[in-house]
Amino acid sequence: MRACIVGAGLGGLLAAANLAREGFKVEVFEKLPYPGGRFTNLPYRGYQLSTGALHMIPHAERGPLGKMLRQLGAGVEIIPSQPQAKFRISGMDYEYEELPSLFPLRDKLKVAKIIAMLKLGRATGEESYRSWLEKQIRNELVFKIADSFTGWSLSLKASEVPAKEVIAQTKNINKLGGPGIPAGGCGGVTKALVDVLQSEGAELHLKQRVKAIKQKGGAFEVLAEEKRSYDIVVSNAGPKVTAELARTILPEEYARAVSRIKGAAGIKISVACKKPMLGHSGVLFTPEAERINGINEVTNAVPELAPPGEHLLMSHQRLAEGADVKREIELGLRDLRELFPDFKKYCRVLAVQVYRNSWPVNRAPSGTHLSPATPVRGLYIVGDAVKPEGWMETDGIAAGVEEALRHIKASY
Amino acid sequence: MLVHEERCVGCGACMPFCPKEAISVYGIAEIDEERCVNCGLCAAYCPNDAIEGD
Repeated sequence: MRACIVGAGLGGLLAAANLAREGFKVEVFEKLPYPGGRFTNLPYRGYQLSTGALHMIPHAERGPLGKMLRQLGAGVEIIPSQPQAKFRISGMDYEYEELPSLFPLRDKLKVAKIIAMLKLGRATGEESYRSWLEKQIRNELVFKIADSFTGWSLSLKASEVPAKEVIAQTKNINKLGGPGIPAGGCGGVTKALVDVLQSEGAELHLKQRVKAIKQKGGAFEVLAEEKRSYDIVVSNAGPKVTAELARTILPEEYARAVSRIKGAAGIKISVACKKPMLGHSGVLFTPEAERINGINEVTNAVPELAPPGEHLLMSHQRLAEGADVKREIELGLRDLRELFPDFKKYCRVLAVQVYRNSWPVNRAPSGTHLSPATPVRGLYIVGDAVKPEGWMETDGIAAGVEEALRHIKASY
Repeated sequence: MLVHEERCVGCGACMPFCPKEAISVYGIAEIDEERCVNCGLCAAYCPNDAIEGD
């Protein structure tokens, strides 16, 4: 069996490694000169910036990605964040369990009840997380905390994500624990996966753009630098590009449906720091900041991501559709200066990176579940548009690849 | 090198690869023509086909 993987992002690499281990003859085509897509390192002035992700895996070694990397024999350690998260409120940092104590008596019980309901995991229908919360409580701080969580993890406001999605995610956090930082950052994972591909005999072609996916005589014909034939095609190029590449074989309704998907956008600010500004390796949620949803300082777990003695701080903020990007960046920078009074003394902005349009945070927003199976038998999609309910970020991608593999195994 | 503003998203992937540190990214990539030697590395590393030789 011959498998063609279009795109060497995290989803493509995971699919390729799994299929190669299953005995498929695998070829991966990547248009860029490097593998990893939005999940690899960008070395810059001694710091490991990233092409996308903030060097964090949502459920560390215990989630779908950690599990899959272990099964593949990809030797990469994921250091659990300690603490998992803190929330900065009125200048003080609190852990999740401490949040009810911040509220006046009449709301304290309601907040404790919300936390319990999130843990028990019950919600149905398409109701948004925000309107689900509004039924329990009327408190601006609760809504701000909710927005900082969904903004950080999904680049959406609480009003833009279904309650059942957030509840399923919280359930997974309670079950599997919080984030971790891979040794070597995103690039450490990408490198480990490329090593698996190599040892399994899969071919990785860089700087080779796939131009068309067609079908001929029961097989797929993929046109890159040359024309080659495959039994299955797994596309990590995103649903829109995939529909474009396979336009002669996919039904028009499919292309129309995926053309309507609006990705989630965000802004990441990477900062070099002369001293630790957070001092821990968890997420600092910033509900009261104007724009920034959360911050991490991964060098507290993986010091190699910055020059010796220095730290790498990264902030993330949701970017609303149609917003003035330069103004949003300015507001994000102002947040950083306000959150850290000695920012000017110890910190230097290394890069401001925007993720939108053809290079977004997520190609489909969380809460929309595209199936990895397309209407064409043998053509599958993976990546951040295919994240099963309850799984966010890179764990969502791995869970989507798992689902794709189940489809493939059932048919081939 | 020429940045196509409608395709550049400001992701900054080009910036670290420039041997002349001629690229600044702030919402969009801008190339300092004085420093640029037209080596084309930024175009090769751009995920969005937003940079071309001029």
